[in-house]
Amino acid sequence: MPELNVSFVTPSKKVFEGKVEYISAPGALGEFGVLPGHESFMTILDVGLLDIQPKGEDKFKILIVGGYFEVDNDNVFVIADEVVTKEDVDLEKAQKNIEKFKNELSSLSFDDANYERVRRLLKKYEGMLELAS
Amino acid sequence: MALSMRDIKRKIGSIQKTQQITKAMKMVAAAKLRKAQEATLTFRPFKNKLEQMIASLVSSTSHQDNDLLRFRDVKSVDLIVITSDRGLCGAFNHNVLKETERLINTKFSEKKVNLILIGRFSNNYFKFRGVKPKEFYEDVLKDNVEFINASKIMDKVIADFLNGDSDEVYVVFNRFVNVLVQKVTVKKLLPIMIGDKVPSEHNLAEKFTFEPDKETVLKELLPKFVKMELYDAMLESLAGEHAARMTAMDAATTNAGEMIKNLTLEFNKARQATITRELVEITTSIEAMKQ
Repeated sequence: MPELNVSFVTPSKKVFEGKVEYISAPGALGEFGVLPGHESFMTILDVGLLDIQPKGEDKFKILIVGGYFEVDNDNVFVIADEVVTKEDVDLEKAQKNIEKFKNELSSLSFDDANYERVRRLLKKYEGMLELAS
Repeated sequence: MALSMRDIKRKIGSIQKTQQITKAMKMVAAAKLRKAQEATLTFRPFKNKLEQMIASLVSSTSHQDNDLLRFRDVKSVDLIVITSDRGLCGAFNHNVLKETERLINTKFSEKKVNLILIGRFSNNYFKFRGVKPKEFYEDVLKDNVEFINASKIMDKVIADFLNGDSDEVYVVFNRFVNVLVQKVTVKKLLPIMIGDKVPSEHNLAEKFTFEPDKETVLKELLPKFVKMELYDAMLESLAGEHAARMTAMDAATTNAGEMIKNLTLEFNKARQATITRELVEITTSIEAMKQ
């Protein structure tokens, strides 16, 4: 059965490397999934959950804060700016931050220079909640 | 008069203690150096990959509208200076600071220079000379470098560059050549210069589908690339710092050994002198009693 070779890194560490049946990621234009035999393609990633189904192991999720995704000939290459695993989540802090950034976001207009940054932060903490649940 | 035996003995003891400390510091630096080198090794391939991808994207898109790539008239320059937080590493910090001073006085003497300092050493140096840095960071270069730190520092720098507060950004740091040699390097970070790294045979950009499109991907990747450049410089500097400290401490240990050797010799001489003097005293008194 065909499979994907995934190498998933942040600049400072290797997060995951191995054979994978399926991977899905939060693309800039929406979530997408990749199965073996996918066309060569490259995209930038938003903040959100990355789903990995390693071959012969349990599926796992990881929160990724922006990054870059590339598929070429069943080789998948992911660089994330930052990753958060389930163990790293501090629920209380996340909840507080969501409130804080929601307020901040509602006071900003779409074309504000900080809008994108705050939106990403909010999404990061929302992602933490989703990851923990 | 030469030092008394007791004084010399005390001196030897104190130097021996110092030698033990320098020896231990050398070991610690060696261990940390290995860690820093590992980090560099795992990071390099990814940086190269991104570099290739960007080079091929730059050559295949119209990127005139991308501000990070565009050259401007240079009126003000940002200098990022990377030094260590701690001393005892030989001329490591001094070399970087000297180069920075040289740049300010020669190449950029006509321009407005803003300093962004990383590491406590550079801050103390410029504070003493009454130069106020634009930004100052400490404790980012510890046992290992976090990419997120480089990213935060660079975010501000990029924002200033896009605002027009700075027209060029350079980084001054120690490149790790080998354990004995660290070379002071000045690298231009912004505007980004690629161009000569395009892989000619296989243009990567042709092969891929892009989502949403090439320009957007490029726009997203360029800041990332600059951050990686800074991260790379920080890693190099950290490895260099540990290597410099290792060499300095090794030299200190050898010097301490040398001093102990000389002092021991002096001690033996002093002891022999005492013995001889006592013998002379005894024989003279015997001679005196015979008469």
